[in-house]
This record gives sequence, structure tokens and C-alpha cells, in this order.
Amino acid sequence: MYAVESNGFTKHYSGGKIKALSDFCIKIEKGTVFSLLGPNGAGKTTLIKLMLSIAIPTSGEGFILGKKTTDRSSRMSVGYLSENHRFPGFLNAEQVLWYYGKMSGVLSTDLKKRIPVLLKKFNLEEKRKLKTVKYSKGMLQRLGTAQALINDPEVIFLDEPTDGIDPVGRIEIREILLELKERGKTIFINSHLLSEVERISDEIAILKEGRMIKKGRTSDFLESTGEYNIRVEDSKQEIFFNILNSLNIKFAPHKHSASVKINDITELNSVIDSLRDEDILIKGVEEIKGSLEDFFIKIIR
Amino acid sequence: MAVFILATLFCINLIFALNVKYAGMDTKAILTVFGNTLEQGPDGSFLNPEMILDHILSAIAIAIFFVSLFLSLFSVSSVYPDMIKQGYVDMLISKPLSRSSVFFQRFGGAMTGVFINIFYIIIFSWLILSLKFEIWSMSFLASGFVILLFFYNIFSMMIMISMFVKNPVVALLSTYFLVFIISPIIAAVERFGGSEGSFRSIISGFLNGVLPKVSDAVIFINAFHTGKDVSANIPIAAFLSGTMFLAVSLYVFKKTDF
Ligand SMILES: Nc1ncnc2c1ncn2[C@@H]1O[C@H](COP(=O)(O)OP(=O)(O)OP(=O)(O)O)[C@@H](O)[C@H]1O
Ligand SMILES: [Mg+2]
Repeated sequence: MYAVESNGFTKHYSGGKIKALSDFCIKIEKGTVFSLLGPNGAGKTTLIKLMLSIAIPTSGEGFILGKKTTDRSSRMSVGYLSENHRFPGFLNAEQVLWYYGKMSGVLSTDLKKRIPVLLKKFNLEEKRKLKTVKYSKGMLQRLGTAQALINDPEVIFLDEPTDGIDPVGRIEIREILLELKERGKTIFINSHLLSEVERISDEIAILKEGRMIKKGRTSDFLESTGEYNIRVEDSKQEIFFNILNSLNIKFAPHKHSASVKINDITELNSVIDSLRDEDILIKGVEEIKGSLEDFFIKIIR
Repeated sequence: MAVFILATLFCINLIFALNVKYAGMDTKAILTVFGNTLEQGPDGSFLNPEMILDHILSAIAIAIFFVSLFLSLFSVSSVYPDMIKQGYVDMLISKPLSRSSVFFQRFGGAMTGVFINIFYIIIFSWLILSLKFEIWSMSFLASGFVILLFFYNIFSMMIMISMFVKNPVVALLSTYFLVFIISPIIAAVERFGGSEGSFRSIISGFLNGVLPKVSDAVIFINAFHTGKDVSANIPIAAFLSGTMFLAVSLYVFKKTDF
């Protein structure tokens, strides 16, 4: 049984004119942190909406913890943070958590215990009596995320959870997510913050215009680029470049170094040998790893 | 809350209107209700006091009907448009609730609120009137249920409009317009007839069949205050019409992508 399974989910809007999502298939194991990436309008929110029956699929089916999404009990152990959520403004943080907890079927005794813990975790303790109309965007986002955890769900869908949250808050949310992952929860994230995603995800899929164009483990997206950055003493920069040219090696010259395109370790060592033969002091050699951002830009363009 | 205050003001107003002008009812019954003088009965003869009282109670019940409908519709106009707002409705639906239960929870809440409101006005006015005239009219109390029934009918229509226009102001104003302006006009047109079979009469016949009919409510309330025969078709039609609007609204709500 998978935590989340999508079997060809397809969603067209406006009588087929807008193909928001096309034949999306995915299987996510329990305990995985899964991130869905893609430019604006790629269909990320649409997928979550189909999984939670907020939108009705044109075709295809989905399962959460083995239950079909059309069955409302599939949402029993689910937490969800909507991308532009709003709460009734006349409620304060405590009341919001209470109200949404009740709707998720949480018992009052559990709520009494859980609400203070969540408020503390999300740094909302001081503001717990403040009406949510008076909240800042980041505070609302924290409350929204706290709300998604109120029923201690097994599967958590977060649509851009760190949107509008300051850097310190983002680190805190990351820690909360990692803690949830440790407890075996499955987390599904839509995000634009690639550096965040890179840090916490186990698996990543990239959507473009409603189609999945790549899916894999996070490490697959951070593959080595086959480039090394070599730094030598400044006075020998010219000779260094000449040597690279004579060895017929492609490189990009920088002010104090060069990014060298190398096929294997042997080639790297022969470059180093040549440099040492000329008595050039090497200040550093670093492997250049592609970031998720590089990968994303490359594949989307 | 605002509605409660308005309702209370309305009741106080009513006491003044009656208090000042309810003079003698020996030979000439001259009554001024809200400044309108009513000297003779509809048939030209003087009315006996009992009958006049019935007519007064009926007129008051009808006034309450309009005022409380107006206020109640106003007070619940944003219930559904707010519920189906982006960012709010999706969080609701993501809970393990069926869309029907989300829909009917709101409905139950709104109906209960309005029920309390209507009976607050009715019972309050009834006490004043009864103490004043010492006629403890049950028909007057019963008109509360007629108001509630017609509220059900009209509110359901407003919900249906809300499902499409998604805006409380537009939904409320178009409901007012349809119910308090179009519906009485159509009812009059239907009553006094027009060219049969013409396009206009088909349209008006259709609207007459579909729109909530406040004119029917007026006839109904008046009839059971004055002991005339009333047709059970009126409440049945209101109930069916309301249920139909509600069913359409629920269907739309269940099929919408949020
Ligand atoms: N209710 C709707 N009616 C019509 N089209 C819609 C509707 N909802 C979404 N769309 C369209 O579906 C496509 C996918 O939208 P979606 O919200 O899933 O994108 P997204 O990947 O979440 O984008 P973002 O990063 O901006 O949040 C867009 O072209 C959007 O215009
Ligand atoms: Mg989105």
C-alpha cells in the first residue's frame, strides 16, 4: 500500500481548453518527503486538489493510504495547507485550531492537549488570543501549517508552506517537517524554493504544462557535472591556462581559477601532474555539483 | 446582532403606531395604523370591532412578514458566498466530511438563526398586541411558521444564485429584486391575464411557476387571520419550490471544482 498514489489523474478546465494536468502517475511510499516542482501554472495545485477531491478529475483515479479519493474516509488521516488559505477573521489562533480539529474528527480531550503544543511549535503562543484578521502573512502561514497537523495526520499535503515566511521561520518549518518525517509521516510539498526542497526531499518530480517531465530521487537531480574548479597562485594564472590549452582540455577561465571539464579522475590527476611539473602551487581543487536550481532551469527552458 | 437591534426597533415602532391612534371602537372605528386611516371595511359597510381587529392583526402580520424576510435575507446573504471562497472552501472539503454535510451544516445554522429571529419578532409583537387588545390570536403566532416557510423558499433561491455569482451583494440584491419586485408584478400580470399563448405570457407563466411568491404568502396570512378558506397548495408550492432550489444548489456545490 502506498501513502499516495495517482493513476493517470487528468484535469481539463473550460471544456478541455485548459489542460491543467495530463495523465499524472505516481506512487509515493510511506515516510517519504516528496516535492512537486514546476513553473507557475504547471498544475501542481491541481494535483493536490484532485487528491483531496477539491476538484473533480476529468479522468484517472487516486488513492491515499489505499483508499480511493472519492471515498471521504480517504481524508481521515490527511493534513492540508491550501496555497491561499484564509480563516474566518473573527476567530483567534486557538479557535481556528479547535474548529478545524473538530471538523477533522479529533476528540476534545486530544485537542486540549495538542493545541498548546502546536502553537508553541509554530511560535504563535503569544498571539494565540489575537484574531486572525490581525495576523501577518507569515503568521497566517504558520497557523495554516499548524492546522494541517491538528489531526496528527499520516499524509500531509502542503501547497507552498514556506511562502511568506522569514528565513528563520523557514528553518523552523524545515525542522518540523524533518521531525515529522522521522516519525514516519508522508509529506507532499509543492514549492518554488528549490534550495529548501533540495534539503528535505527524498523524491522530486518536475511538472511542466501539466505533464511530468522528470521524476526521481533527489540525488539524481544533484548529479555531478564532471567539472572541477582548480585554483592556482595568482602569478601563474597565465601558465595554467596555457597548460590546459596544450592538454586540449575545455575550461572556463575565472579571475583566480578555472572551471575545468574533466572526463575522469585519471585525467584530473594528469592535469595536476602537469601543473606540478611546472612548479605551479595548487591552492584548491573542488568538484562542482549541480544544484537543483541548475537542473530545474536547464530542464524547464 | 444588527438584525436583532433592527427587529427590536421595529417592535417599538409598532407599539407607538398602535398606542397613539387606537381610540374608541363604539360607533365609528377609526384606526390609524402606521399613519393610514382605515374608516370603512372593504365592502363599504362599517366593520364590527372584532373584524377590524382581525384585519389589523393580519396587516401587522403581513408587515412583519416583509420586514423579517428583508432582514433575515440580509443577515444570511454572505453565508454561502463566504463558504465557497477560494482558500476557505478547499480547506473545508479536505476534511473527512462529505460535501452534502458541509452544505447542510451551513443551511441548518442559517435556518436556526433565522427561526430564532423571526419568532423573536413574532412573539414580542404578539405579546404587545395581545396585552393591548386582549385577544390572544393563535393565527398571529402561526404566521411565524408561514414566514419561516417562505424564508426557506427564498433563501434556497438565494443560495442557488450565490452558487453561480459567488458574491453576497449581488446575490442579495438580485434576490430582493426577484422576490419583492418581479414576483409581485408577475403575480399581478397572471391574475389580470394577458394575451394567452404569447411569448410574454409564456415567460411570465414560467416565472410565476418558479419564483417564490410573496403575494401568495400575503393571501395566505390574511386568509387565516380572517377565517377565509385557504388553499393548502400555497404552503406546499412554497415548500416544493424551496426544496427544488436547494437540490439544484446542492448539485452545483457537489460538482464544482474549487
Ligand atoms: N478553476 C479553474 N478554472 C480554470 N482553469 C483553472 C482553474 N484552476 C486552475 N486552472 C488552470 O490550471 C492550470 C494549472 O493551475 P495550478 O493552480 O495547478 O498551477 P500551479 O502549478 O499550482 O501554479 P502556481 O505555481 O502558480 O501555484 C493553470 O493554467 C490554471 O490557469
Ligand atoms: Mg499552485
